[in-house]
Amino acid sequence: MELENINPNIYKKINDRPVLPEEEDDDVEDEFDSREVFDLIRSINDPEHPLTLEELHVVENSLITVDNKNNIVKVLYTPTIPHCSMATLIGLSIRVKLLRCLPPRFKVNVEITPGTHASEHSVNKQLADKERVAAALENTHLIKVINQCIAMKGL
Amino acid sequence: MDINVNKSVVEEFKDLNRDDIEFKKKCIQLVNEIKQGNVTFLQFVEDLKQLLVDTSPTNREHGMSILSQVLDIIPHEQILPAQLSFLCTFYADRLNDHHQVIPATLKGILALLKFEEISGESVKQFLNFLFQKISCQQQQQIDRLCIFQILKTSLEKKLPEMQEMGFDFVYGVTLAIDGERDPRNLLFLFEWIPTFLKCVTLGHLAEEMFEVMACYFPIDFRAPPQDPNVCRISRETLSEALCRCLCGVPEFSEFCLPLALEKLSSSLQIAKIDSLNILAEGCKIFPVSAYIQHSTDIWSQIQREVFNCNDQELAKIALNTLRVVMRKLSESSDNIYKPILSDITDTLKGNLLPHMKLFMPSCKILQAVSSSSRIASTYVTQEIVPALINTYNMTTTTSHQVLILTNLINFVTSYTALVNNNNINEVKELASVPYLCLKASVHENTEVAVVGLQTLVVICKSLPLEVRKCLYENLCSSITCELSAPVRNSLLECFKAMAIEYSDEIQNHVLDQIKINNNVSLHYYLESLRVIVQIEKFTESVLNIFIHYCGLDLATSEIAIHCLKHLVEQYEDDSQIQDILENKGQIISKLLNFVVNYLNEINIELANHKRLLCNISIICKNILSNQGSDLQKQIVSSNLDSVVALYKNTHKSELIVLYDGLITCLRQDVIECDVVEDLLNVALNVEEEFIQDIAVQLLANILNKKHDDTRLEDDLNEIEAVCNKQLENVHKSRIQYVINLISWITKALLMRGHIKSQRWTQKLLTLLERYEEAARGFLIVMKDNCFSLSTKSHSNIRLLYRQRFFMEITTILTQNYTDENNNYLLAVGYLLQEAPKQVFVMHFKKIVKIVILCLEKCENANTLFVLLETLCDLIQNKEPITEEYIQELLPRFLSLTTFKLSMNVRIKALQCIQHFASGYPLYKLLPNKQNIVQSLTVCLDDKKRLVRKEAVDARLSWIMLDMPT
Repeated sequence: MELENINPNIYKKINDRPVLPEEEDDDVEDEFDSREVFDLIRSINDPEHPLTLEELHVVENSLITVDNKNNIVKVLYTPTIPHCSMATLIGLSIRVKLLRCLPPRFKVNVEITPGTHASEHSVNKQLADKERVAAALENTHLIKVINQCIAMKGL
Repeated sequence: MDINVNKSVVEEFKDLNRDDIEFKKKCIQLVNEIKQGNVTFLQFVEDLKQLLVDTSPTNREHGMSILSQVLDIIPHEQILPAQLSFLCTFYADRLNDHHQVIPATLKGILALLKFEEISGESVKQFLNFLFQKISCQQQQQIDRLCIFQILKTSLEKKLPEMQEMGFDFVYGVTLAIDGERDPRNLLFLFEWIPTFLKCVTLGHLAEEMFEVMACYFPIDFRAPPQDPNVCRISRETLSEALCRCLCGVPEFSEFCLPLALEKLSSSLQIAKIDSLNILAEGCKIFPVSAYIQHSTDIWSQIQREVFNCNDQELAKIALNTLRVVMRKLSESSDNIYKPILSDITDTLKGNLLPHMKLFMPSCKILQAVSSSSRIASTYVTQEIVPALINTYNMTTTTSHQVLILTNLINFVTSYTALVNNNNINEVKELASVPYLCLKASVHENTEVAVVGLQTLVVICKSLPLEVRKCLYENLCSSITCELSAPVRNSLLECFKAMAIEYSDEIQNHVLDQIKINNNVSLHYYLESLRVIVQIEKFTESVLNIFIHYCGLDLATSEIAIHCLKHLVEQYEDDSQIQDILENKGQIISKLLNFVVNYLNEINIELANHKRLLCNISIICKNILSNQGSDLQKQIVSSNLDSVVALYKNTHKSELIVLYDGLITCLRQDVIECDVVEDLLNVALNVEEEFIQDIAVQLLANILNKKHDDTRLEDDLNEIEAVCNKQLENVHKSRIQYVINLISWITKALLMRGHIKSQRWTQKLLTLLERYEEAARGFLIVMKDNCFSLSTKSHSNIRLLYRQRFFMEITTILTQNYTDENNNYLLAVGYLLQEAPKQVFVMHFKKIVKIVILCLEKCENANTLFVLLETLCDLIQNKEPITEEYIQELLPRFLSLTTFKLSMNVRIKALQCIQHFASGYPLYKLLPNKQNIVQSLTVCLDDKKRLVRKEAVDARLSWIMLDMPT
């Protein structure tokens, strides 16, 4: 398989979230925030490279919004090149990972950062369509690739 | 059983199968008879005639088996040369016989070949018949092996004759090997063939010979575990052996290199690894011209592997192959080698921008090339280093600077190693590197500074005087100030490396120049000196500095003593340091005097004064511990009495810490002191927990080591009386003191296996009925590694005392458990916390009932946490015992994931569930999957973030259980 983007830029990983004293206090309630969602998806592997989405700046903390009260999570992601054919697959991986890791009360939106991909709208539409996502997950080949992308390292 | 001379050999062997043990025994007896002269060999053969010329092949086979077996074990001098040559002809002739007779014949031939006197002609005759009449691959495995052994032995014994046979021999061998499938035979062949190849001329048969072996490449073999003969053979042994065959002779190069390159491009991991190994192995034998011919191919394939590789191991092998091949290529003339080098460097130069993905792989390739030969190193240095330095100077991103500098220094080291020239100032391209490192070492960014210091260490032998001087100035100023931990560690590494390499300069330019302004800088200064104390030149002077500062005013000494404690602990086995401290510096009495002098100023309630006393005690213990009995006596007798006297006068409880320092580490024959009463008093009456603890532990230490039984008895009786009195009318808040004391005494007695330990254990158990605090007592007893009762403090330690105690107590607790008795559960929790894992595993079945009860009923978060932690550890290590209790444990864990009182319990429960998801048989897990994945949804919305994190991991692991990946 020929790589589409053979020599992408790589960025530094941010440090692990420090554990604050109030997080260790049994009586304080910790709300969901963008960093927590980011921590869930930063370690997803890129389908092409042995790098994480974080290292390629496909997902960034600043592009995630969490509305805890209204139960909405919105994730914007940026493909490394505008005609990247993996964009849908990456989006799907993010969706699946969040589907498995966030409480069901949240409505999750996964979209491409505006203006960063040639066929942004069609990809967004595909990702927003619940039935198409469900259908995609029935496809054994596809789910295999997605599982590889979101597989946890060291487990 | 004797051989009956009157009975013929034929009858003796009548009913014996040749695989029978009796058969072999009979043959040995036969040979003995021949050796003793009762029978001659001729007679024996004549006796056998009836079988050997029988018309039935079965009988002939039987006869041949007997003869071959006898030939195999008979001493060689028993057979005359004429007989031998007759036997050879006979055996060669037998190769024409019925197929059933062949195996026995082959064995006989192998036996004959071992005779020294056998003629070359006979061997030739064997082989000619063998090649013509026997189709090797139609024989059974063991007979094929026999044929191969015949070939091997022939070559070893009769090399000239075999070489005379020329192509016939080579062809015969090729034919015999062709199509071999058994791993045992293959391993035998692969190990023999390299020698074979070196002995014969292959000529036009080279390709054929090569193809016979190449068809196995790459080896894909997994030993069937149920077959005991084969399972010892691994894929790696086979592939390594084959690799040596394929690279056996220079003639193979024209076939071997294309084969390796073809298989390198396959997608199979093992094919790649084996191909890379062949390319490297070939460098030992193949001519350099072969490599020149394929250099472009090899280079581009290896480049592809390193660039696209997800597997670090494979990349490492590829780089190693590249290095070996490039070293081989360096044998060629410059006008061939240089273009190859320039091809590589030109391709990679464009990738040397640190933000790109290919930066690291490119650097690694270039480093592999540059470490291959002197020419390559010089060339790469010229081409690459200036570009890297340039990029370094232009980039402002610190993480990129770190990346460049670490890679840059690798080029420098491979250059200095290969060119053998530490003087890099004379090399135009490298001259500025030391300055670069120096500049980086004072960079404000931590990471850059760390790398700068590390690189200075790496090239410390190459630093020019000018750079060194600057570095010394930096050291002078930064050694005494506060720095972030990573920078400080690197700085000290650098300091140490320089002190080893340039000790005089460090003395003159650094140590003599440093000015200490305040106690903070003193602290850093002493901590730095600790790093170089083991360097012989500095040992004494550094220790003298320490001793000097330990005797100044209270605040200064406090710091110096703190640093000295670190030093003593770090080098606890260095007898030279201890010797200087005690014998020349008399540090112990100095420290004691110091305390005595400042006794009124020291306030035990201040944390820093408490630490000061502890530090003094630790220093004393460490130094005393290693001394022999005589020296201990000498040191203690002069000091201890004065401390005891002082305590009796002043009753200052601080002095107990000094008791501890002086007494704890005494050997059993030295310990003679009268402090039990004082200690008992302090243990039960002093409010300060810290002092109390020391007193109790020291008391335990003394009771554990005391030799005199009657005095020990007295002491114990006295303590017991005091305890009983206290228990009757003590205030509830003080009950902990008594329990603490009883626990430690129990521990001390249990450890030495004293007869009274039973009585004290019983006391502890009785207390458990009434007081929750008593549960902690079991923790104290079970705890390993407390200094006061250890080998370092020369205590009496019986083997496995903890194991025995654990068993006893758990049995009692399980038997006596009733529903209301929560203290029991608590005690079980504490016992398990410290129990050696092996014991827990061994007796798991016995205690599982109370463990599960604990998981269900216990409300105490701490106990639950300890219990879960122990279980989690077992599950994580996949102890087989846990597999049996999956169905019992999982539901209990699941209900604890919502345990309200403590997040730590929830986290541990989730971790237990997660660890169950891997390493256990799928069929036992799957029935639970639905339920677990469903139930964990609740935990995903836990109010604590740390719990949610564990819930995510656990849930994902269970979801992935049977998912395709």
